[in-house]
This record gives sequence, C-alpha cells and structure tokens, in this order.
Amino acid sequence: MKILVCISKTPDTTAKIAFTDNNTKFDASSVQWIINPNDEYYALVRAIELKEADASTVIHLITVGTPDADAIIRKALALGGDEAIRVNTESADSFSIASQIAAVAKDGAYDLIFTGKETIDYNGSSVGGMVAELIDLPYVSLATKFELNGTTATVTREIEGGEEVCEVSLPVVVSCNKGMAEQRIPNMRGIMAARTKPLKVVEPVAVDALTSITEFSLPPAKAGVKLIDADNVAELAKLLREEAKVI
Amino acid sequence: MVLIFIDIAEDGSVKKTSLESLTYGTQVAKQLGVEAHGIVLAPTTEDLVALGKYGITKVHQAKNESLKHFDAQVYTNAIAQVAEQTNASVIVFSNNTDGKAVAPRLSASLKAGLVAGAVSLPETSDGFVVKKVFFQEKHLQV
Repeated sequence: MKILVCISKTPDTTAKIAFTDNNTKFDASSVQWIINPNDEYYALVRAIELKEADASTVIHLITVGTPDADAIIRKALALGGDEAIRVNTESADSFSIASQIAAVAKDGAYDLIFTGKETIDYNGSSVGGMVAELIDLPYVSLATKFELNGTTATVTREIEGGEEVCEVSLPVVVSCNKGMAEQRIPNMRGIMAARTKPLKVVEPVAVDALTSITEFSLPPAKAGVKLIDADNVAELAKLLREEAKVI
Repeated sequence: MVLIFIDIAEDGSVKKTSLESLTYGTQVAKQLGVEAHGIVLAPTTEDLVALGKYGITKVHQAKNESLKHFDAQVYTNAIAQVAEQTNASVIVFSNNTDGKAVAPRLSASLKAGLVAGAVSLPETSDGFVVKKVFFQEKHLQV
C-alpha cells in the first residue's frame, strides 16, 4: 500500500505574530517553524501505525514550499516517512497548494492520502477536499478513527453533535482530526536515518491562485470588564443595548 | 445570484447554522444587487416557503435517493450543477462539518476562490474582500 501524507510548516504556537510591508505580509523573520501539529500528530503518526501493521506499506511525505521547508520535512522523515517530495514553490492559497499536491498524487497511484484537519495558522480545512476533487477521489473529512480491512476503510468522522462511521473503498483522501493517533517524538535512530532518506524536489505545475491576502490586522484589544451591581439590572440592560449592542 | 446551502439535520429540520447562512447570504445578495436562492439536498420536514422570511426568493430542492445520506462528492456535484444553471456568483455555506467537507471540493470543481471562516460581510467596492480568522482568532486577515 502507498500512503501520501501532506505536511505543512506553520509558526510555533508561541510565536510572536507580526506583519510587514504595510501589514500585507506575514513577518517570518523571528518565527520558529514547526510541522503543522494536525499533520504530524494525527496524519503522519496514523500512517506510521499502518506501516507498522503492514511492513510492505510505503509512506511518502509531500510539502509545497521553498528550501526553507526542508528542515520540517526532514523532521517528519525522522518520525517515520520513507521518502519526501517538496514541490519547489511558495505556498500561495489553498487551491494552488492543493493543485500541486494533486499533480504529484495523480502520478503516484496512492491508496491513501492523509492531511491534517487544518493548519493552525490559516485554519482553512480546505486542502484535503480540494485534492480529492482535483483527482476525483472520495474524501472523508475530520476523521477521528481509521481502520483498514483490505481495500476498505472504516472511518469515524466528526459531525455536529457526535460522530459518524462510514465505509469507503480505497483510494481515498482523509483529513485527520484529534483521536486518529497520539503524538510521537522522533528517536535518535530515526533522526540519523532521516538524513539519508530521499527528499525529491519537483518543480511546480502552472496554476493560478484563486484568492490573495490584501491585508493582515490584529484583533481589537480586549476591553476591560465593567462590574455592575447585582441589583442594578436596568443599568446592565442599558449597557448591553447601547454599548455592547448585543440586545 | 447568491446561492445558500441549507443544511438539514437528521430529524429533517433546518440546522440553526444554516439560518445564519441564510441571513449572511441574503445580506451579500443585497449588497451585490442580486437575488438570493437556497439549495436543499437532504429530505426535510421543514416548510421551505417559510424560509422566504430570511430574504431568499427561491429554494432549489433536489429529490434523489442518493442525496438521502451525506456524501461530500455527491453533494458537490449537485450544488455545482445548480450553481452553473443559475449563474451563481457567490455560494454560502455554514462553517460546520458538512460545509468544511463540501465547500473546498466545490471551490476546486468550479475554480472559485474559497474563503473559509468568513467573519464579515464582503467589501465589494473594489473586488470581493472578506475578513477571515487567522491563527485561531488571534489575528485577522482581509
């Protein structure tokens, strides 16, 4: 079985977020980059578990990015991927990223394509569905459990107010959510092996982004708390109506 | 035309998140000076005519066994067909589990830009600019 795991690099959750060029660009100068946790903890680790259950399984990792993404993809290889592919282009919007992944996936004849449920920076939750559409595969979003029986997968996915269990034939694209697997720490053997695992750099296909960022802005500062006397309901109603404008 | 996806709950009622979508979508339509239509794919017990109070002028209702159970691929094809037939310029989904499964597929199918998690009405004086959440609500992008 061949599995493709999509990996993105995202700023560390503790990174100080700032913008440059008149708030039109994200300031990456002092940011510590990490593997997007949803890609790492859930998508990649579940793929590794499937390989542990069936040694013939091959795991390929894919990222869309410039050479500064290499450190991230090597770390992912240290966790357990067999081979990595980097599509050598700046990642633009979800559609352009999905188009690059789809172009590689189409030629790779993968049985399974795993993505994280979303990246922790743009929170789009879009790439998996787009890849599935572009290569005409079924897509199960927000999966919390994934079991394989031959060429049929039983997937539990999050729905509003609960979970749903569905069966799907491979090949399939799955976005992986909390519950799919547990975080692992790469061991020394994995780190050493990752140095020599193949990292193939491929040139991008021509594709236009469908959206662009015009400006970033910080959220408004939180206002202080106003304490109203418990007996003064009229004043509370007045403030909710006139100041907070919520009633 | 603005097309609004109306999500149906297991009991056949319209999901509350879709009522927000209806309000949002009709506001967008008003801004653009076009009609707002709804689209219902799952079986419903709801009086769809009553949804007119939210400002939509038409509901496209599909009646097909294959739409009884949610399947992102089938739903995408059905919505894409209606979007093309009606020349929809904007399609609105709730940012819920079904919306997250269908909207990206539809975006790729129609080659239409996707704004996931919009938190404002669009600015339409120069293009179509929408605010969305970035970095889990810490920062906003336009």
